Amino acid sequence: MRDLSLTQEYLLCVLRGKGKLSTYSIEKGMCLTGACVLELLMDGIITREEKDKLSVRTSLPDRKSYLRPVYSYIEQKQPVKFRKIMERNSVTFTDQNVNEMVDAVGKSLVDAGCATEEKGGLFGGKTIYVPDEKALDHVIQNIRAELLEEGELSEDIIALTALLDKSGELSRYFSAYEKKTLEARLKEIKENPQVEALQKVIEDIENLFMLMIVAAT
Amino acid sequence: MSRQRSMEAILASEYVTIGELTRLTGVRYSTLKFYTEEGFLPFEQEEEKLTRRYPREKTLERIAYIKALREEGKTIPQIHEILGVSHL
Repeated sequence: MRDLSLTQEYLLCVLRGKGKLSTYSIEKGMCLTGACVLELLMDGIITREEKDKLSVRTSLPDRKSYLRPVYSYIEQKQPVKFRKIMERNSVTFTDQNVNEMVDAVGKSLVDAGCATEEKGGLFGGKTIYVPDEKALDHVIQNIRAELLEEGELSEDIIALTALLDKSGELSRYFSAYEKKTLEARLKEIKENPQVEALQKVIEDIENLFMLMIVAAT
Repeated sequence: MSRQRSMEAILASEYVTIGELTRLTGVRYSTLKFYTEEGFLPFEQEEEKLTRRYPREKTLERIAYIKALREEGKTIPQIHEILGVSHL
């Protein structure tokens, strides 16, 4: 089994059988952007400066080329606020920026043997990425193994859990019986001061999402 | 707080976590948890609330052996007897 990154695992978990993000699920697009930014931050490729602005620190390694759409934007606009990146990838009239991200990460999943590229959508003209069930199960078992066990959680699992929770996907993978343990773990994650970068991303996603709801009503 | 270990690092490690065992073997978490509770997979744990650590090589051999026994149609009580372990 190949190692997958935070962003790749997140997309694999939210694509489901349809192989694409629902047009109505703005949160998933926002969380995918959040995953890209968090991965760049955790790997030290970008850095968070004062006033929460992000800048490029090193060049993007070839093995991380699926992060290119977000990386290039930060490189062009640096220093840039996370919120600005988020707005670019969600509050637009077209899905172009989200699709670009999904294509980049989706293709990397195909290359890793964890998804297949197919044609789908309403008229069959859209490229979709259908997750390999075994690869998806592998990711889910890993999340379950950390969250339902005692002991320290890894940064990667904390980030993935928080993003899946935010996109309303997490509870699908836990039984009603396990919910109590899950909720205790989520509380632990939210209150953990060591994951400041993650909390900032989640906060920005929440605020932007609230603004969009208000704007739409 | 630490990052998740790469497969390369896990394969070079003497001890692994249950999450790492799911990555190494492809066996579902609930199955490994059940095997642990049945006493099939010995582990070390410094304190009650800390992460359980399994000796990698021995545990992988044990999981492969249990898998083979299950494929032969052995039941859990029979595996208990074969492995000579009692419940935790």
